[in-house]
Amino acid sequence: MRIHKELAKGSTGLLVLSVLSRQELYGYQIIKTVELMSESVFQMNEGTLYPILHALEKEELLTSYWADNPDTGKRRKYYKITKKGLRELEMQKEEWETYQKAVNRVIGGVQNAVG
Amino acid sequence: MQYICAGIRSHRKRAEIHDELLGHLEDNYERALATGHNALEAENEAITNMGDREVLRGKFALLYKFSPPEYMRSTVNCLIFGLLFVCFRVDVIPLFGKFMPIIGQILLLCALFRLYRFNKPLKAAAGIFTAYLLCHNAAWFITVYDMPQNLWRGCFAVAAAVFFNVFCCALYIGIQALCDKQSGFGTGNSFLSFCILPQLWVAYCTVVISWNSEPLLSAEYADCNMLILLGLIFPVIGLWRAKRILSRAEPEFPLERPLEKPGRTGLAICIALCLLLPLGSMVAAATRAPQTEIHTVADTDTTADADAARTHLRALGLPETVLRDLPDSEVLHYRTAQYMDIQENPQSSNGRETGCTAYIFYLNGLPIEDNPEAVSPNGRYVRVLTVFSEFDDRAVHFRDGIYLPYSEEPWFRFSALADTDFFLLLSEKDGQTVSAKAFSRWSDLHDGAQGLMTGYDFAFPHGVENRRMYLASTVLVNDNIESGFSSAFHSVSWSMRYYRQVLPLNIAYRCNNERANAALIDNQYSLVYGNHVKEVDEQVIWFMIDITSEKFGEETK
Repeated sequence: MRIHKELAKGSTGLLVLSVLSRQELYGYQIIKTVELMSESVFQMNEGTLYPILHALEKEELLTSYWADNPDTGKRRKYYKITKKGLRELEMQKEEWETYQKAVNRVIGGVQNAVG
Repeated sequence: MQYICAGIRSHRKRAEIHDELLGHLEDNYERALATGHNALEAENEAITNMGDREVLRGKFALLYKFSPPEYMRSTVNCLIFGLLFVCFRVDVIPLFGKFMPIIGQILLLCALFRLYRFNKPLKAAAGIFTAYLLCHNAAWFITVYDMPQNLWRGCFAVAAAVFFNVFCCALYIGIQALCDKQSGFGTGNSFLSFCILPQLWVAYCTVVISWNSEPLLSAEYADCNMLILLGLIFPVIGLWRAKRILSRAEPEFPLERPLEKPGRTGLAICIALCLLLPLGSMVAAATRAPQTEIHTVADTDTTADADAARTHLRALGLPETVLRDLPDSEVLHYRTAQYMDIQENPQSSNGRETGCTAYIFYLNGLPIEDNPEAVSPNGRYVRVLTVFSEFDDRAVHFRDGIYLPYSEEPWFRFSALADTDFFLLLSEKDGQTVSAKAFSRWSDLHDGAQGLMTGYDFAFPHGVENRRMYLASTVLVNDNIESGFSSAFHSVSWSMRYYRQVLPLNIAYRCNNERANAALIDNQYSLVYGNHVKEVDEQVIWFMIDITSEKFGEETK
């Protein structure tokens, strides 16, 4: 199912922080991990991901370093979440859960009202 | 990839993002190959997955606070300030004015090494600038090691000025072409085209000043300096506008980085040459040993005659300190002297103390070397021995030296025997009297106001005391005034020059007070002969000598 771009837009940062909270990855890996874990619902391209990565790095929610990929041997830029990033992730998770419950209540309430 | 990163100001960040995106492209490409696509399909898929490059470029530009790319802005700034520093020299602190052109050259070099790859005019400008550098630094080297009044220096300096102005024209054309390409053909900075015309005038002025080796802000060339300033205003404005155009977006550049390693190496070498050549010449000039020798007075075979001449000079009143310095060949000139005048510290028109004394000997008959062809039946010979005992302590071009020109200007008419034929520079070192030998004898082609000047370059040893200089010449005084103003005067002029300070010493002989006078008119020394009035150099020192029958024992006309 294809998700509306505007709907996905607001959660991209949350997705990236969440993925990086589990392990350090570079850009291509982040895209593939999100795609895999979302069962292809979220399919980011480079034009979406990299500006977000750099923005998060500028806000000091992430740090980066260059290292060789142990599998391919090629040099890539890895990202790692910072403590500040972890705190931000927790905050965004709480917001998301609050948002999700509110949306579900409204949707459920309409259905109940209709039904 | 370069287009996406073009909006990023920082060069380092630009390179980093470029590598990062390139790595992602490679990963997409390999994944596409692994899923069965061919190379072309894989490449297209990788590029498609990149997304809209305009959007990506805009996001990066916004993220890194898009502003004019720093290197292009700094490049044009280097051009502007480089041009100004090369053309103008201001001695706000001593010697700073001499180094301003070097700073300007370095700035222009840095700019050209960034620009020369963009188009052919800029490439040509870089080549012409190299020629200018070579000529300019050669002229500098000669100036410092020898003297500014050197024909080779003049030729190199003029060549440098010509190359520099051709370089400027090529630069304007190249920058304008770059602006046109950047902002759309015909809508760019056409202002620079019009700068070529004033540049021609700047060229003329810089050539004149280069030949004369004057600081650009000297009063003597105030008109030229003003014209140079006006001429450069237009290019500076044009380049300023070009900076705004070129800074909007980075011009397409064939290389990933503005300066490849060979280019950086070449730039470093050129900068080093700019600095080392002038510094090397200064060091060489400062450490070059002055040519001196132990001074002895016995230099002729006619010892008895010389002793008699010395006795005679003592009787006339010549001080012993002077007599002790004069060699035998010189004292023999005075053996027929009938009378001696002394002029101490003659007043100069600018009020400077001269530190010199003139001993004026009225000779009876011919000088030592008989020259019947030069004898006038009405002539009288006068030999003037001038002693300079005070010298400015400032070094001339990184060494102690004296520039000694004398004039052959017609109104300072020399007779055949009026050449300054005796030079002696003495000083005391470690209890010994040493004389300084001339480095060279050359012609000063610059001092047009006084005609062709011929001079000598001496140097004192370091750490000497009691420096003094002797000059002498024999002048034929002719009181037969037949034509013109100059025939009334036979004069010898010497001048000493320290850092362009001139202390000319003019000894004027008057035959007839009514015919020719040196007069102070409106605080300006002038020569008045009949209806002719000739103003003299404002730093003239006058010895006025009346030739009267008392000194020669017979009536004069």
